[in-house]
Amino acid sequence: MTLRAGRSFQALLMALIGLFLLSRIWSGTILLYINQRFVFLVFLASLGFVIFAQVLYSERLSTQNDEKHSKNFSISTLWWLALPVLIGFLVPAKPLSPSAVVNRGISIDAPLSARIEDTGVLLSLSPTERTVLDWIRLFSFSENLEQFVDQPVDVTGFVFSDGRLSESQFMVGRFTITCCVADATALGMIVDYPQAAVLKQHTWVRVQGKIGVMEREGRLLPLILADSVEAVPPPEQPYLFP
Amino acid sequence: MVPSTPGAGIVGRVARITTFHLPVIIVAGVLVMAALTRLQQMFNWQGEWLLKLTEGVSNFSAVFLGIFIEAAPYLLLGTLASGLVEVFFSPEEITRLLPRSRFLSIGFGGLLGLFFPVCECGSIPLARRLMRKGLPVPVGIAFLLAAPVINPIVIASTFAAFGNTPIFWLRFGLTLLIAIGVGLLFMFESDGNRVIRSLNVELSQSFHFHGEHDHDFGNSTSSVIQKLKKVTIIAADEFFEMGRFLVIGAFLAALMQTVVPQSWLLSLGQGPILSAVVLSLLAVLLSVCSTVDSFIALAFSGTFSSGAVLAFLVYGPMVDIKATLMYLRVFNRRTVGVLVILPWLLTIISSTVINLWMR
Repeated sequence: MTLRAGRSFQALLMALIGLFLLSRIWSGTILLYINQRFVFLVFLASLGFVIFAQVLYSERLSTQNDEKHSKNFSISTLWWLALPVLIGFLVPAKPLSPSAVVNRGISIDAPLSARIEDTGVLLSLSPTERTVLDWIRLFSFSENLEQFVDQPVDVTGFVFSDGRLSESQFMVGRFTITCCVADATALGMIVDYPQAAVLKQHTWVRVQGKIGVMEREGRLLPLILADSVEAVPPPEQPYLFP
Repeated sequence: MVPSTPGAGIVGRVARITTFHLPVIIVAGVLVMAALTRLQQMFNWQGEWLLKLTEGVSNFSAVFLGIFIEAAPYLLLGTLASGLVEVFFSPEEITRLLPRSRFLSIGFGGLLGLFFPVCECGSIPLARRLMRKGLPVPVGIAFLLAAPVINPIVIASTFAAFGNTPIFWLRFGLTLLIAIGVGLLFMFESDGNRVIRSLNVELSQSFHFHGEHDHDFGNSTSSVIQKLKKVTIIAADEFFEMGRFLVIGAFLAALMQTVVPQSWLLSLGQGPILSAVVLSLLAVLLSVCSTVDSFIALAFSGTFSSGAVLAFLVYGPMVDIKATLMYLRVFNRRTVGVLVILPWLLTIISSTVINLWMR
């Protein structure tokens, strides 16, 4: 490939990468891939890509007369960088599906990715506004767990059940993303629900009920005593960001 | 001598054709998969294997794009820094900054990351540029291995995850020790060309900008705008050169994450040595950026010993899939072998000692 064509191809790819990132930031679907605190960095980078594309494009014209620079471009190198653009624009933007939990495992009380010793913010939320992540955090970092018993709970997540739970129990889980989807870890709360067996694995449900405390391997964990479990469509933003 | 058989010739030819056309083959495969996924969604086709396949495709692309989107800004930053060094620094200026003593300068190399906040995608092009500009090889190696961890961003994120705990301090101590140790090994290698792949190989393969005319624009009195244009061109060339390894690395990591269950790897090892081996391999496999890996390590600190978590935190930033591919591009094979194996052995030994000592 000539230098001129190579530079044009480079400029095109840079512009497409930049535009892809900008379009995802604009539509909000960027949050299907990364944690929100990196969005500004990605925004700056996408502007950088567009500027780079502009410079490369103008350079294409300025170097074309210069015969001594006309070395060959390796086209296979450029093809690799076309992959993210192709996958990005062509594969429908979808979050990690709950079935990925089979490969990744689920955790009930793992020390969390963003530790907060100060639970004040979470305590100030009304109990029904707290997410799965909030509840697990509260139970990991609060002194007095008795205060939560019998508080109302209203969480949404996907159904996960495995052999370690009893017939009348299932877990309601969510993926948490600290950086990007590559580090997605599922967190789950155990739910007591007599008809747990009829729930379909990996479907989304809204669980309402009361908080209880259970002991497992010497640790105190939150337990939801469910009054109602209803099937719901997947939420717009399926991940929780610590 | 290997006797040349017709079979070897065919194998060689097939290998050559596949490496040349591999990106095109993969791009074609991706197009087919994307089309299949779209059609499945459009017509709501059922069928168990088809649903599994399309779900796999979307999970794969989510992880792949996640790694790429997350790492691309850092790679861009690293190549930009490399371009700035190329255009605005002369070799004399770089050597003048170094301490006189060779030992001290290796230590200095290990701490240089404090001034260049780049993760592993950024540190590799920058280290190569600095070494080509006359930074002694041992100093460059120490910088290369230490910079992804010993820099302000990673210090802040590790502190956020672990606080003032032994793991926090040991992560930086061990990384610095290993980086300096491996750097010392290269002290007797005075000839940089035996470590870094020669310029000619690279020139014949790809881009034109590293050639002899690099020097003439250093002396010319071109305007700042012209110089910034040069910076952009150099950075862009390097972005494409290194970016493909990011793409391949993200591709492999996403493929593994969609196919290999994590629990399978985690169930392999407990014990003081095996746990460190397992978590260091997991770090290679996950290929996450060093700026955030401490948050992921935290998730393992419940089930794994401190030594094993340290192995994840120390080895992961030095070597993972994408970094190894980039190393192969920059260094000759023998050096890559040393850079991959020696830090691993040192990591496993120190993690095992910590496991036995901190229990």
